[in-house]
Formats: sequence, C-alpha cells, structure tokens
Amino acid sequence: MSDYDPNQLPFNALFEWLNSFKYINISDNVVGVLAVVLGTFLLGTYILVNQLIAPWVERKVMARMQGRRGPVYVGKWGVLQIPADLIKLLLKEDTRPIGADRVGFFLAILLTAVTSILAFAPLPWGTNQLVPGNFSIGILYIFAVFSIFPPAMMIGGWASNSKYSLIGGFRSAGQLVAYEIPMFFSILGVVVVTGSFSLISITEYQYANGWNLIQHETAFMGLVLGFIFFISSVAETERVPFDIPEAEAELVMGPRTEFASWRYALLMMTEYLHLFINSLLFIYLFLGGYNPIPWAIDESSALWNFATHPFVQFLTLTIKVYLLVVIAGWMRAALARLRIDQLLNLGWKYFLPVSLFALMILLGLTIMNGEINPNEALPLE
Amino acid sequence: MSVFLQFIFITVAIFLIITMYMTWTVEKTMQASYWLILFLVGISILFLIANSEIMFAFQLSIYGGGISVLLLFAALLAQHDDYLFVGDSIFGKIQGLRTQISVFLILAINLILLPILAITNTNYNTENSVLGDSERTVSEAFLDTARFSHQLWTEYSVVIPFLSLLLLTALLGSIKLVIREWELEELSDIMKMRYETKEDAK
Repeated sequence: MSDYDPNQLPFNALFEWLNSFKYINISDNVVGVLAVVLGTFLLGTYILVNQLIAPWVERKVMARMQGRRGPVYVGKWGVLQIPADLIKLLLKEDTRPIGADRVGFFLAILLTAVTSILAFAPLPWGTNQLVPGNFSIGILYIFAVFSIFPPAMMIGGWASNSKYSLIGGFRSAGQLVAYEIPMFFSILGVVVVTGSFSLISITEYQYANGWNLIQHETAFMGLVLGFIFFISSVAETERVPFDIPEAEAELVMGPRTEFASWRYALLMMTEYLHLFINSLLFIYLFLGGYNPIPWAIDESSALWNFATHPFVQFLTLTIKVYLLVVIAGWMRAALARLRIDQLLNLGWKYFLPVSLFALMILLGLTIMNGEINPNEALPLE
Repeated sequence: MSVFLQFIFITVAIFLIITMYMTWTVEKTMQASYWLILFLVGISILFLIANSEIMFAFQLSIYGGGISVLLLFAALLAQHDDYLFVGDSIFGKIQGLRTQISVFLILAINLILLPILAITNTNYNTENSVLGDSERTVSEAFLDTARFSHQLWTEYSVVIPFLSLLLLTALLGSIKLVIREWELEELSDIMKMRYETKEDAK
C-alpha cells in the first residue's frame, strides 16, 4: 500500500486486468482508453443505480418515522417506485415559461448536472485501484467544481422569469456561499493533520492513525470539525432543515419551480448526487474512507488483510454512504425548517469562528509535534 | 502536446472565443454575465490542459464560483438599464454591425494563432520548454501545491499585498462610480420618462 502517486493511471486495476487479455500486439494507449471507458461506464452505472435506491431508502425511513409504510405497490417493497417516478417524469411534456431566457434556462440545468457528475472524478474506490481522475489536489478539485453551483442556481432562478424562482435563486446562492467557508476550514483542518490534499493519502493516513473523527492526538478537534463539516454539508445540499431556498409553503420549489419533465428529473438527480458527494467527502475526511476499522492498524495486524481487500473497501464505502443517507432521511422527518436569518447566523456567527479556532489549535498542535516546521524552506529543485 | 490534447485545446479555444464574443455583444446585462462565467470556466480548463491543477482549482473556485456570484448579485440587485445613455455608451457602439464583424474577425485571428503557438512552444511541461532557467522555476511552481505556496510567500511576498491594495482601490473606485448621480438631460428618452414619472409620483 502506498501514498498518492502522481504517475498512477486512472482505473489502474482495470488497465492491468485488460492487459492480461492482450493476445495480439496493440498499443498500451488503446488499452488505457478502453480501461477508462469501461471504468467510467461501471462507476457511472453504480452511481446512477444508487441514485435510484437512495431516494427509496430515504422515503422508507421517513415513512417509518411518521407511522406510514412508504412506497409499497411498485415492485417488491416498492423498490421500483423511483424508476416508475423517473419514467413518469421523462414522459411528461417539456414546458418553458413565456419570457424565460432560453440559454439561461438550459445553462442552469447543464451546469448543475455536469458539475455534480464531474465532482466524482477524484474519489478513490479502493486502494490506488479505481481512481477515475488522479489529482494531487483531490479535495480542492471537488470544492472548485462545486463552486459553480451557486451561480448556476442564480442563473436558473433569473432565467425562469418567475418571482419564486428568482427569490429561491438568491436564497440558494446566499446559503451556499455562507456554508462553503466553514466547510473549507474544516477541510483545511484535515489537510493540516494529514499533510495532503489527495483523498488517497488522507485515507491511507487514517489506516495508520485511526479515523480522523475520533482521534485523540488532535485533542478531539476532528470531532468539532467533523460536526461543522457534516452540518455544513447538509446545508450545502439544501435539505431539511436547511431547505430554505425551496421552502415549499413559501416558494413552491424555489429555483426549481419552472422546470418540468426531464429538466426536473435531472435537477432531482443532482440533489441526490450532491447528497452522495457530500456524504462521500465526509466519509473520506472523517470516517476513514474505505477503511472499515476505526482504530489504527498496520501491516502486522491480523485485520490488515481484511481491511485492505478491494471488495471489503468497496462494500465499506457503500455501507457508510447508506448510513449517512439514512441519517439524512431521519433529519428530514424529524426536524423543522430554519428561518433564513437563523441559517445565516449559524453559518457566519458560530460555525465560521469555531472552525477557524479549531483550525488554529490543530496548526499549533502540528507545529508542536514537529510535523510542520515553519522555519524550514521547501527545497526547490 | 499530444494530438488528443491539441484537439481539446482547439475545442476549448473555440469555446472561449464564442463565449467572449457573446459576452461583448448580447443585449442584457444578465446574459452578458452568464456568458462571462462560461468564459472564466473555459479559462480554467486551459490551466488543466497545461497540467497546472492548482491554478485550475483557483481559477474555477475564485473566478468561476466566487466572483461570478458577486457579479450576478450586482447585476440583479443594481438598477441596471441596457440603454442608460444615448448613443455614447460602449454598449451602443458595440451593437453596430461593423463593430460586431471586426470583433469577430479579431477573435478569429486569435483562434488561428493560438493553436500555432500551442503546437510550437507553449509547453508548461519542463523538458521541451523554450523558457530560460529563472522563467522555468516560475512556470514549474504552478505544477504542485508546495512549490506554488513557497513561491507565493518568498518571491511574490511583496507583490501580493500590493495587488490586494490595487484591488481594494478598484473596488472603492467602482463604488464611487456607481453612486454618482446623473443629470436628467444626460439620460436617454426611456430613462428620462421613467425618472420623471417617479418624481411625479412623489
């Protein structure tokens, strides 16, 4: 097992597997392209299938909490309810309000959908094996791609030519910007401790030192930053109790009000993609990524072979994601919506200073432990 | 640069030129804003092609995300009118057919020159670069995070505060420009009518 390797090929495991079938002499580039196509297809299918299961899980959890049965009619236990909803949405008439800005209306959908899918690129699905895009700055990349979302929401709100959409767009952008900063500080805390932006290195660090969330070496600052990151990520996905942009009783569906048919289906898909991405980021940063063991293990440990098995790693990620989806459903059923001023107060007045303070403590601890020496200049080759 | 990268580069260049052209020529401020955002996002892809991931992340998050939100908020909240003044505004001049054609020609010449430059010498990678030693250190610095931050806090430690001061001055200047009060005679007919009715209502 190794840390981040800049020469690592995308979908390394698939590339080697395909190479074992190479009976005729074809160039490695062709095999590489095949590996990327196949890997993207497999991973895309996995994500999209889970997109259809996650809303079902959420609806079941919510129904149980409210003393209902949830979807039951379509398929066994109502499993096929979401695909049926999707087909219904796709068959609906595609409408656009009079006076809507054509380009902006289309652009909002394009930007939200494309950025949500692109954000999956640097996520490793196992030890150095299934990485679609090998970035040294994995977290920064996801953060950068996500930052396109607020302007896209505003463009969509304006282009719809509807007051609900416009107000929703404003609220959406304001909320996303307010929570991006504490979220970034909590990410920086992890970067300071692990010394890397790469999600692979951060997970490897958690193999050697235990999950970041429960590490006592960092004076439990991981717990504080983890809490802030989790709440901020719920706010970023605009879900209950932070669903102010689409507050149903006030704004119909917020910036999504005027979108119908496949456009609405895509927007709902991006909502769940955001839930997935934020859950995965929380898992990689604080819950050990694909590491199933919460405490530190090394190669001599009896659990090492179990914890580094590719299938176990893949399964660990899936189980952790669904655990967070269940928590999201639970929160949606149990909590009431915040007001916009309460939301902004929480973000700017509490989370921002606390995350900054925790980051300072972490920096101090890291310098005291001698892991970072501020006086030492980096060698420039 | 491989053929595949060249193809992507030319595609991005065409995209940039179209978005740039649209930003200059569309009528509404909001439309210009979203074309500008697309242009800024396109620039970030150029950084990615040049193997400079850190610059890609900065360009996308600061310009594609942060600045665009400010831009959109400003465009939506300010009382903007597309033809504020008669004839002499920059928008009035750009609307003319001759100007539009010349803008397009300038951009098209850029489109032809950029790939030639790309193929011949703009390689951020170090081996084939035609840059000198000192320049090479600077361009190499954009390749990884540690070197980039090192450069930022050593060689450019004076430049950064100076630039931020410049930006602050620009910000204050733009606020001063925006809150300037216009004489009624300066305005176009539509705007005159609008303000006159407002005055009457009071």
